[in-house]
Amino acid sequence: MNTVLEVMDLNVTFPTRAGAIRASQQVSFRMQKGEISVLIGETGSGKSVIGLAVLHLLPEAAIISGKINYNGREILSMSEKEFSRFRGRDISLVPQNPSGSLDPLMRCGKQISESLEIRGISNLKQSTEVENILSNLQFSDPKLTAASFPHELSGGMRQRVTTGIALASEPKLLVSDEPTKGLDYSSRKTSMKMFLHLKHIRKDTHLLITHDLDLARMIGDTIHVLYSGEIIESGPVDEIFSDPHHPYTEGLIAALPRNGMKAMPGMCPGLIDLPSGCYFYSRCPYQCEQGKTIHPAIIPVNGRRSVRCHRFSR
Amino acid sequence: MSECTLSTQVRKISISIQKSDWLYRFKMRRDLQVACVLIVIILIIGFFAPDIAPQNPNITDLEGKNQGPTADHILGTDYLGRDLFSRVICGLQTSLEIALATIVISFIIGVTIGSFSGYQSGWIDNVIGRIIDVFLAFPSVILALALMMLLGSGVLNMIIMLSIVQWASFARLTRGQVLAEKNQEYVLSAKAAALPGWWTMTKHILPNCIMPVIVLATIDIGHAILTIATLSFLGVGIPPAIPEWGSMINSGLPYMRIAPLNVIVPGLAITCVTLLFNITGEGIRDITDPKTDNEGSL
Repeated sequence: MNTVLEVMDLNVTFPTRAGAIRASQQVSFRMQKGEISVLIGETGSGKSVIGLAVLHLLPEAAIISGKINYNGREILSMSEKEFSRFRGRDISLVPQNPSGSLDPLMRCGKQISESLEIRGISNLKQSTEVENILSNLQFSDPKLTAASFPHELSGGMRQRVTTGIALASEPKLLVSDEPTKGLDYSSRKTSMKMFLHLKHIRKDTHLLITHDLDLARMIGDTIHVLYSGEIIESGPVDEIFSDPHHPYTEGLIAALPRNGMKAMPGMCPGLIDLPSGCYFYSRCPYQCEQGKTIHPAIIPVNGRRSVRCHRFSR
Repeated sequence: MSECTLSTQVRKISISIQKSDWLYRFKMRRDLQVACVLIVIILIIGFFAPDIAPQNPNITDLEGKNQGPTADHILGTDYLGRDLFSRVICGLQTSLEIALATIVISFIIGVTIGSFSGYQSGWIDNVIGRIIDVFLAFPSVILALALMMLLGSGVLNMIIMLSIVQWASFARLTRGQVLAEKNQEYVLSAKAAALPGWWTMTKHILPNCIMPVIVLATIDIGHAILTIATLSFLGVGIPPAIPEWGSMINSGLPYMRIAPLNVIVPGLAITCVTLLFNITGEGIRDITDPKTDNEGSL
């Protein structure tokens, strides 16, 4: 069995006074061993919610349904106690905010070696292992970084340290939540270089949650485009970028700076009052007749790809 | 590489700013330096009191009672002819012994219970929180008097009694700090990294929130000394054979007109030592709290 993670019909709803927020609807995808899957979408499209659901870190108020299979075991319905054996050992998270995720009073090297200590690696081997990890993370002076406190590092360096903490536990599935968020151009480039390097040397199974199309294209194998809590298009990265099917994906790619930065008109609908038809209808350049009233289902196209659009349903 | 030089620079700058931060502030605070030196001197005197005292504080000389300062007795004698200077120095030992032991014990108990309660939350926290409230609601001197009646006098009993009175304030402060700190994102990350709860607590949360508790401990040494003096002035706690400032004032009161030093000297000693620990405690708060400037408190 090579499927590491299989998400089936995942629905996440947050009840609020204004109404239920449907953060994630009927999300299904599967990941093979060694595959890098990218969940891409704009703010509020429900990307992070999926990552948190995989790690059992959603707030208690969330109403969750569906199934998540990890190596053939259903983990979504597990109790906290059962699941805690997986978290941090089998499935690791690179958290969203690297500045807040590091203990301000502990040297970075020590924070990485904590994960090693949990794995039972002896004290003697820990420091060489930490330096090893740090040099894989594109740090030019691993010793210095290991001896630094988080406030002594830049945002990009902190981001790479948090990645190091997650990698130190040798996870079988790595979930990283917006690793290039809020980084300036050069640190983002270093981070991308780091992920590419990691992809070549480690072959981790990696669920990457991002809104960074360049990062997705550079390191991703398959891509799932999210819009208003749904997957609207999935497929291999190259095919999606060269021949996007869904008008939203087309729009995203056209909005890249090198493609002329053409902005899509309109806004994505709020997650409380979703329209009954196609969620993308109001912004869609094609505006097919069915889209007004009928919500499109996700349909396979050419075997490896799938898209949620009426134009492909015939 | 540019990053290398950058990080080296960052490191250099941060050494000059950050590592120095409290050291730098300490260097700026002349008053705090003086207070710290004085505390060290007081601790040394307290520790070696029997050797430093020129005479045995308990030898009575009824013919030379209530004297003023002489060559033999530089501060004079009390109503039993005992050397006042030696008694004040040995009284320092008594006070410090009890106060420091009290603070250490109540610090350990308070921080343990407080951090456990704050970290657990839920009904455990509710129960412990109410117990802390009950202890804090008692007027401390009355509680202390009642406990002393129960336990009887003696240095060890005094330490036990004061710890029972003091631990709750440490527990409450620690609990509040932990409650605020455990919602920080790095605690969630620690959970996501499968660190056990006790590990997160002792290695991540506690170091980040212990400083205010240490400040409270320093200031509370002064409070403990005051409470000890109050109780022994009232005649409970310390047996009369042991020199103690509060009981010295009490016994000197009837002879205040003929031998005023017997009241003034121990009184001054209490004031100075308490003041010293208060100044130091607040000084530590000023230099370790990044939200204050060099001018002093918030």
